[in-house]
Amino acid sequence: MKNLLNKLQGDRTIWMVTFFLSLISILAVYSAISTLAYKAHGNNLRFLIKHGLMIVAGFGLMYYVHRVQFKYFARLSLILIWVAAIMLVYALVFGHNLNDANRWIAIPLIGLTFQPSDFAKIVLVIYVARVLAQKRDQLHDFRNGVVPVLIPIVVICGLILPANFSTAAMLASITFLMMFLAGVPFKHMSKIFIAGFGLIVAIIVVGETTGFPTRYKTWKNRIINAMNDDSDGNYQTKLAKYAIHEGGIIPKGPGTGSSRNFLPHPYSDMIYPFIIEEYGSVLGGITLVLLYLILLFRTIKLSVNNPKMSAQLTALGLSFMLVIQAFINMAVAVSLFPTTGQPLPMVSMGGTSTLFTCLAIGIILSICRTKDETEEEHAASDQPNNQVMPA
Amino acid sequence: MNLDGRRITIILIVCVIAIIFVIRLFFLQVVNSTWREQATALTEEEIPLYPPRGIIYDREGRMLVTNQTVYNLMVVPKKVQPFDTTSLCKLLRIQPSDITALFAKAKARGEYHRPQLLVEQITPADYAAISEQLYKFVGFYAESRTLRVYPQSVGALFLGDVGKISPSEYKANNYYTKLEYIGKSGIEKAYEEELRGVKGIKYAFRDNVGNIKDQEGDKEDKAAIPGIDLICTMDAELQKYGEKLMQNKRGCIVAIEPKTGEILAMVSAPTYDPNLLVGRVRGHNFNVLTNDPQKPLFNRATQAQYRPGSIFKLAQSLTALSVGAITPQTRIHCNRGIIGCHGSHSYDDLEMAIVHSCNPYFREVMHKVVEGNRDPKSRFRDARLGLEIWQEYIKRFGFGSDLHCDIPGVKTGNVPGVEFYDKWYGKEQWAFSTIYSLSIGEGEMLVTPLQMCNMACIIANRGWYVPPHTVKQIGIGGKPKDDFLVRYDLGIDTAHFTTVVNAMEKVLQPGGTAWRAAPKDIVVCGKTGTVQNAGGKEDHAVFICFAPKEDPKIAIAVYTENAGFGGTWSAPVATLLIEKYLNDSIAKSSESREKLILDANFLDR
Ligand SMILES: [Zn+2]
Repeated sequence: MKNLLNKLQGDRTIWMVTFFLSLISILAVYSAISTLAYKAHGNNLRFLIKHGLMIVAGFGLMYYVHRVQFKYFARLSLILIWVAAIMLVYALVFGHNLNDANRWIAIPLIGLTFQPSDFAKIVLVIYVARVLAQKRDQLHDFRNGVVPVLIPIVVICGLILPANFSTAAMLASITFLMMFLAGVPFKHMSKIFIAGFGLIVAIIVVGETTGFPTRYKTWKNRIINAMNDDSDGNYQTKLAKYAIHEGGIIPKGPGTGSSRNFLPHPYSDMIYPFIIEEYGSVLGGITLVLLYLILLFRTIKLSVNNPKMSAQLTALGLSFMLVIQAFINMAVAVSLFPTTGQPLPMVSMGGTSTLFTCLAIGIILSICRTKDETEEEHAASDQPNNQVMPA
Repeated sequence: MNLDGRRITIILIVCVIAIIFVIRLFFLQVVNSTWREQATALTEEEIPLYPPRGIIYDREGRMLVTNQTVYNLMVVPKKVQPFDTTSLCKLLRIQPSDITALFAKAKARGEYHRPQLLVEQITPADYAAISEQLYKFVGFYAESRTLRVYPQSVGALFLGDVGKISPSEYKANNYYTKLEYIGKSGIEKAYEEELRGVKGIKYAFRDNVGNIKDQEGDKEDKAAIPGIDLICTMDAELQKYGEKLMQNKRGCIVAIEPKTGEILAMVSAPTYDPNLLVGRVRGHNFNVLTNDPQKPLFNRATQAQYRPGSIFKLAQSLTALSVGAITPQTRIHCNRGIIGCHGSHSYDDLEMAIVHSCNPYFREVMHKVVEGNRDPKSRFRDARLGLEIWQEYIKRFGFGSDLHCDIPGVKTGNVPGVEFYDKWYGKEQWAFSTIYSLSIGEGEMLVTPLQMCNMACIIANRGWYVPPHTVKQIGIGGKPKDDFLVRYDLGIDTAHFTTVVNAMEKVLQPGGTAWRAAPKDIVVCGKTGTVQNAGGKEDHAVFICFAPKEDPKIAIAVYTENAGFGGTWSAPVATLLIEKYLNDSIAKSSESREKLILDANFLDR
């Protein structure tokens, strides 16, 4: 055990945060699926074992990845961005259609499915970070500095958009944030912002007039439902609020939650209210918020240790991605946001999504390794620049 | 370019978002919110446990009203999964459009996730067949309910009925939900609180297909408390016989045990089988009965207000004796100039005037009561003072009041007084000569048959009554309501009753107006009446009586609408009932009378 701990590199705090998140995940999923409905179908244990295995595999992946130097990911992203685009196109055309959205691709032989958008998210962040780092001296020039960054973003987000609006919007926001951090001038940022806003308006106009894309109606209904408290479609959020209210400030204790009987997906999308019901808002609700914040702040603090700007931006982009995804999930649960279907990273039972989350954390860990460890790759591809992110 | 500033901006934004979360979280947990009730209603359900309604027995312990289990087929539209519409419709004997209409209605009301009633009151036999197949139809399930059944098929209006709660009843009472049943009339309504019992609550969860799950919640279930059984005052055999005698007639019978005020029978004809208003046929039959021109749903015994006619002369006699206007020996000429009379008599005393029902006699009796020379200057003012005294006495008999009885919807009738005539004619614009028709029970006086029977009880008891009531024991071996343990004493000297009772005895003796109706071996005291009708229609035949003369066991009022003379058509009904009640059988000598009554048909008049 001690031997293993010694082999662990990277930040202990981030490791601990990840460990706690997965611990909460195992406990909550176990509790959530031990309902009569699942018992009756006799497969609740199967779900739990599958989820446990996924987490163990995720940690294995994380351990392996965090020992790999970032430069390899940066180089790989050049090829993988194409792979991601092709997979997205493939999923759009042939993908399994679960819940009328979120296209999945089946991996042959293992019997697992994954969302190409999970993969594309990580690849795009690395790729954009790399391009931003390369172009950092030309960022004041819109055509030569900013447009090369925008092209992959528009393509990838555009491919995700038809099947999964919220992921596309989230990914666009994260890359926008990365551009902001990389130092794209405000005049360009506002142009992009206006263009993005214009795009949304265009989607609404096209959707209202032609009914295309086909999922337009669903998006619209969700937003209307979020605003209209009485509507039937808001049933889920009502239940979530109920579960949160039942939780109270003082924990009720694990295994006591009654909302699992009626909360849709208490093990995935709606796991946050379920955790609050069992552990209370302090122990369950706020702890989770804090864990994600620690992950983010730790990454911001440590990423400057890495001399490469592309690495810093990747770490920030990935940690923002995890935190924003978590916040959106929580915001849905507390009815601050329309229903989206974003899982709680590391916590929701999400099959292969867990693996991609572990991959992202592994990359963050790799980037955030101590200065000493990164010293050796100091002279690698990008120019060293400690000024990008002063601590 | 200040990159450090950008970093700090982002950190601040994230922190603000985190703080918003925490605030929102506490807001949801601490702040009072209506959505919580909405959410619990959808999920953790409070399933009401309906207690069985109390059973009603007659005074001899015969079961009159009991319960039968039926099933309501419910559906939660949101939970429904694609199903074979044709086979479901065939199973439930409904049209596919019934389902789509129900779903559309539920959607319009925003109740798509709530249980909706699809088919009501399925009998146990039908349900057995349905329950085998029901599992195939996700989202559909059955709920058991109890219905009232009437094994004796008698006393529909006496017992009353149970129906779905109306919006106004729902608003007036916070015990019920919108889908519940409530007593609508008769005993079912008057004793609703006793009969209904206390609902229990089962806290349960419904899973996503609408099935109830046995899941322990944090709230403890509350068992339902069954309704209280009642023993009513009715004698089912007497009631049944009364209904039979009133066949093909409009009218009513009220029979009361004088000592206790217990209503032995209360018939309103034409009558109907109470089982007609139960179950799925209720709606249809209710319409049929409502639209029937003979008005079977109208309880003539308590809601019809007739002019009292000649039987009112009994109350007039007692009033006049009591105020000292006359003595039993007072003789008055049968002066037919002002008011008509019938029969050969000319100068009767009180007893014979009652027997002959002498109209001029009673005109003069009331004249003496009302015009007492109390104000020598004005006969108008004199009449005002006199009428006030008269009205006070007449009200002692329970006229103009609901008699404090326990029957819902009783009418009070009308005892006109000073106020009434002042409004009608103007102050000091009327004297006795204006209102004399009151003296023979015509004019503006209105009474109900129940009140007339109560008057018979007062005379039978020689001066007091117990409010008429329909329930003898609340809970087997229990007591009636406290109101019915009280005697109302009229404050009229017992001696005054002797003359009246003796006269009533003579009514059923040879020469009396109802002598043909007299049964053998039973001394019945009665008084006939005929109530004139406007529009040339046949008179209503009226008869009140009690028997036996000493220690009376039963008092009866009979109204037969548009039948004619009271002694001919109503008196035999009363005396047959007395025979039935006192002797348990009809004597051979009375059979011809029974046949005459059974064969009579006045429905077309
Ligand atoms: Zn006369």
